[in-house]
Amino acid sequence: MARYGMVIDMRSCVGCQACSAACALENQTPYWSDKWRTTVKDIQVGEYPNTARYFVPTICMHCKDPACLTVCPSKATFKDDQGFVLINYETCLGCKACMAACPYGARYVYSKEDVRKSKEVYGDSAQHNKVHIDKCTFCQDRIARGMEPACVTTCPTLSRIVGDLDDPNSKVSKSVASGLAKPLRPDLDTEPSVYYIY
Amino acid sequence: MAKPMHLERQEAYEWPVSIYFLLGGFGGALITLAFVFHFFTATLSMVGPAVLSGLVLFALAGVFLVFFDLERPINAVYSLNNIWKSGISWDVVLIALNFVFGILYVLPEYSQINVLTTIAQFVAPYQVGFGAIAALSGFLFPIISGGLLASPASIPLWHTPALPLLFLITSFTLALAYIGSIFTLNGTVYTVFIGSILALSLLVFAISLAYIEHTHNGPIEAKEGMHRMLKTVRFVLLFPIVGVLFPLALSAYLLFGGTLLAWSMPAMAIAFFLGGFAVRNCLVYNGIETYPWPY
Repeated sequence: MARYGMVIDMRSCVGCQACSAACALENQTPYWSDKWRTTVKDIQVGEYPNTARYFVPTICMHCKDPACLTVCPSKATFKDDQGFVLINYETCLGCKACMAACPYGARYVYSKEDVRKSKEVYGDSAQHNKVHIDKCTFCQDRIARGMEPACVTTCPTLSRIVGDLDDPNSKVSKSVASGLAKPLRPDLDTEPSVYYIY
Repeated sequence: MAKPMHLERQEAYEWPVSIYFLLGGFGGALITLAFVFHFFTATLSMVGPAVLSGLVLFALAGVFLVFFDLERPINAVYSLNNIWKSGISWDVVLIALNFVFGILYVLPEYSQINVLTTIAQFVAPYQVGFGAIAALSGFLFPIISGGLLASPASIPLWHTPALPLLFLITSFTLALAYIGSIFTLNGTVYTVFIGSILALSLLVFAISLAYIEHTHNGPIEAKEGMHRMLKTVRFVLLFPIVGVLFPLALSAYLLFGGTLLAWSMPAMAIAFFLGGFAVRNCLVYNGIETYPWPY
């Protein structure tokens, strides 16, 4: 079974937010409340004349040892055999312990108001019919159909690549093995499946 | 338009959680103190009022958690699915243990009530054992619930053992002052209560300084969180001044020869309650996080 991972090249990301839009449409995330499964943070550092600006795409890291998994009292958060960290919406309490535990800020509340708005926007095809904690699923359903996640497909600068971390010949594995792509906050020992080139 | 990166307030927990921490910790400390007092002085007069108050507080804490914090209260039935790992599951277990064994512990004190006589006589030989389990659960509650905040490294302001320790000691100062108030209003004065309050208040003071030291030497998020707390007038007024220094000064005055007035103990209890709420609420509110960007 493949273990999927992603490499994001921050050097080529232009902060266009096409990934956010594609994800919002694919997964019906509550963009009206400014909540996203993936978005691009704009980092500006330094003071004139020594300034710099970086675009940091954010997403659930689908960690090997996720902090959100152990704190969940109902085991609504679980890992599937492909390494995706997913949420069972039926048993989620909405206690938000996972939100507090995630060091990558990957989760948000799909609130009662968001569910109402979602039904208003998407009608009968609304995917989110109950209040729950929401996060990136790595577009698991698209991967199952042999497609790439929506954010990867739509990225105009090809800043995101997805592949099997266990396959030494995949682009993702090669980037990681070369040391070019690195995880964020490796000191936390969560072993993210998303790596950044910067 | 890309979003600017900056320090952000955590969005997970709001004020109902701080009420839950305060009432649950207070209730647990009351049950523990009632048992300790019973065990070491063979005085049973405090068991009934303290344990019943503790159970009411636990019930209120549960109501705040389930109905004001959980996004889906009905799913609280699933909260024991991850019993060995999740702090929330442990909290639920401790509350349940407090209810079961707290009620069994207090039953013999109400054996004169007709409907309770038979069962009270049945549990009376095991009263100390039941009390010990309830007391242990009550003692652990503020530690585990504090640990719920302190264990993840994602919010550095909370990520310190000083947090559960602060929750524990402030719960016990409040419970001591509450029990002391009941004794005082009944006309009995125990100097051991005043001495204990003084000692625990000094401990709270020391832990608070250790907490400030932790944030001072910690990451920027922790510094920012503490900075925001210390800029909040409500916090500075209610925790360090009303919740720590006032009872510290009053208990020192009483211990070293001052006259104990009827309002002294209730005043300290109110001060500890306000201070306890302020510190929990402001800590929860000012949990600052930032995206772990690589530069």
